[in-house]
Amino acid sequence: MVKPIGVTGLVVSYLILTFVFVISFLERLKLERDILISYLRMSVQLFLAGFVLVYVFKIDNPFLNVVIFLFMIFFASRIVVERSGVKMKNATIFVFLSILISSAVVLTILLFGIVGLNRLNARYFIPLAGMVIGNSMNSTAVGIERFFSKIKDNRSKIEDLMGLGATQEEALSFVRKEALKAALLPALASASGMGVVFLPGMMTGQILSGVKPTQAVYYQIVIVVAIGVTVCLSNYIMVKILSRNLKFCLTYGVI
Amino acid sequence: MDLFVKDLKVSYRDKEIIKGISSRFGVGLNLIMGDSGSGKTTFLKALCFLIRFRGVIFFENNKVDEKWIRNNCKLMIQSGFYTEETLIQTVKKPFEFKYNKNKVFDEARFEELLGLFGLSKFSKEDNVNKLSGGELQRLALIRALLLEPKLFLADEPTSNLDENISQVVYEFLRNFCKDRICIVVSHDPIAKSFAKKVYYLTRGGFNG
Repeated sequence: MVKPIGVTGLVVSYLILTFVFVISFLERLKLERDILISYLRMSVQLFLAGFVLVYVFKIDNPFLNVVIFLFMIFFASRIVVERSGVKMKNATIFVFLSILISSAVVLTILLFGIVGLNRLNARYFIPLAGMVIGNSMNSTAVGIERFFSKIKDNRSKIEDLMGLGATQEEALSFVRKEALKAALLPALASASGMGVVFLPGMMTGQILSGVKPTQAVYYQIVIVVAIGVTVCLSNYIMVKILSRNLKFCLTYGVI
Repeated sequence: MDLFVKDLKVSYRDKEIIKGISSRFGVGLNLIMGDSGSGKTTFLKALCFLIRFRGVIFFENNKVDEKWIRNNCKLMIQSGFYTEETLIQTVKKPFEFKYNKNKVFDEARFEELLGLFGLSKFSKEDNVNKLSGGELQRLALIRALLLEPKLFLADEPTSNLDENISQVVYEFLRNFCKDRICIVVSHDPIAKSFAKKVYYLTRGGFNG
């Protein structure tokens, strides 16, 4: 069993955050308030999640599991749109659909095809969905930001291509390429460093809970691949939907 | 063959940029001149369905839509062209588009135009980064011409070119536009002598 950390451990851990506050103060980053809110929010959310998960695992109803899954994706989509500062109408819905389709496909294969479950078991489904959706969220935030900033920087090139007969989707092809690359690179870099530079969270967790490292590796490889595929699929679907639905008014801005 | 523009208006937020243009353009080189800010570029972009506008455009008495424009109209913008790695890749790019699928890239014609517009020192496999602003503008012109559109629009196609080359370009365009409608926006005094008709755009619309 894992050695429990306890309240004292948590207090010490919060105290280490002082470094972040000091740097923000010294360098005048003016992030003190953001840091405080972010870590406070994280703590409250995790405590709540801890309490809720106890009941979710106990009830273990597939319908409830799916509702939680949809809620997680909706929350992730909101964060993506808020953090990237995108103003496009319906952006949250587009990001939601992209993460939903990609993670549903990958998790179905992962849970039923690889892990070998015969029903949607909350103990497997919720944490694995969380990892897949979390990574998808981070990458789509990069992807969507890059997509819109590239459009802004390359407006004349897009006009040029459309002036020569390209559809909006064809004219945005080079923008999609750049956004996809930017979104996929962190996942690739992280996969390359695993095992040498760092031990990923899930594997660390399993080892701490007493699972043999050789067994933990199997799970870790499977989840890293699942994350990579979901990241790629969700970004691909997202930029495709965005290119089609963008109401373009090139000279006077994206509407 | 003629293009009729009826009461074309462009506004952004509450500001009217083009207040209502009604005009007819026939076969040949139609030249649009006018002060900066009179809306010349905006007018071309509206004709090419790149910006929202009110009003109607007719080609041979038929109302045109975006699909027709993507198929039959090609616009050469003033600057900020899209390029691929090499000269030939750049000019071949538009031939990949759905609406240009029926068009065939004529490599011999491409080489001929490179020579005509003073770009023969470049090989078609050269990197486009080697080109200066004026040379890139000529490559963009060639790229649009190779598509042989029914309606050809160009925004200041000679703004970075010296007088001699500008003369060659307009001489070529006069011939090229013999069996199509060309609408060219230019400040270039040389252009006037090659134009079939000259329009002066003011904030209210066309004069002349």
